[in-house]
Amino acid sequence: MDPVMRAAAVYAVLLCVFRIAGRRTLAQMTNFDFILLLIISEAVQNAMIGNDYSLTNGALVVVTLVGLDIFLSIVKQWVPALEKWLDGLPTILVDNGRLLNERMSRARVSEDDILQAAREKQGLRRMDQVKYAVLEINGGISIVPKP
Amino acid sequence: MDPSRGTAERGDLEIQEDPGYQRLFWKIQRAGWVAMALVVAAALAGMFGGGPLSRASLEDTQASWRLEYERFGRYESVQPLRLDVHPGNSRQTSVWLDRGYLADVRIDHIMPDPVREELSSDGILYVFEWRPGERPGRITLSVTFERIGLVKGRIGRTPSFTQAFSQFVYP
Repeated sequence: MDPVMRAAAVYAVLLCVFRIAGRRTLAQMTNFDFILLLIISEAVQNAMIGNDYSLTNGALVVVTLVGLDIFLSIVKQWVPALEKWLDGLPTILVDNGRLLNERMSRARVSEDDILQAAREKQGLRRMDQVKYAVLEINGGISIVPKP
Repeated sequence: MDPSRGTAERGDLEIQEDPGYQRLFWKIQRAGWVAMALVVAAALAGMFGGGPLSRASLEDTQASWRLEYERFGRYESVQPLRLDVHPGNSRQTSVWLDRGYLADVRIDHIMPDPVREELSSDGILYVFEWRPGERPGRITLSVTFERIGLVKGRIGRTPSFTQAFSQFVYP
């Protein structure tokens, strides 16, 4: 398999696996998740480079990966509907002070996670000070406090 | 509300949300997790090489040798072909592999070393010899797959008495 196909295949596999893994997998950087990211990069290195240590091979892999990234970003502009499948959409978890429990369990976000985000981002002390909590595309939780 | 930007107002929050899509996506996500678990289970069972589902064997009709091989392999990974031979009174035995198989794989290593290799138009014959009084052991050929897909081979003691085997090589 030549370098372009290897790189494209690895990119596609990683894209699918991380979409399936969900937003919280990417956002929460506990020690375990950090180790996971490091190990994954090692795991795919050989698959992308193969036995070929030439400069050309390395350059082709980089060009393919960056090219795919650019291509997808252009495609997302042409076909806006594709954006939500590739990147996801934000999800409101607390609506006007009311916890949306079913969504929280689906998104695997606990009340403690929301309280942590409230403390970190807004310095809030209690849940009833939170007006909106939104799980963003990158897995972070943003908080809109009550006035 | 601004449909052209895809945002909507929920209370006083202007946000791009699509609960229908989100529910569908979560279902697909759960199905994806099941698929990942199945892949891991299949790998443990040997579907990608190296497990109970993958191990196979071939014996020749006079049971003078037996080949153990794997049904599944992976591109550029090494796998052994193991032969147990019983050459009877003879001190020599031979293993013939067809050219088609040899074109799709690379033989990295043969243990023990053959005393000679005879090339013919349709394959290679490896000849092994044992010292008098010694019992023949196992012949191991370390094979690296150089092709993806179905790899077919023929193996036997001589070019006229061969058996077919095949291996599927994942990319």
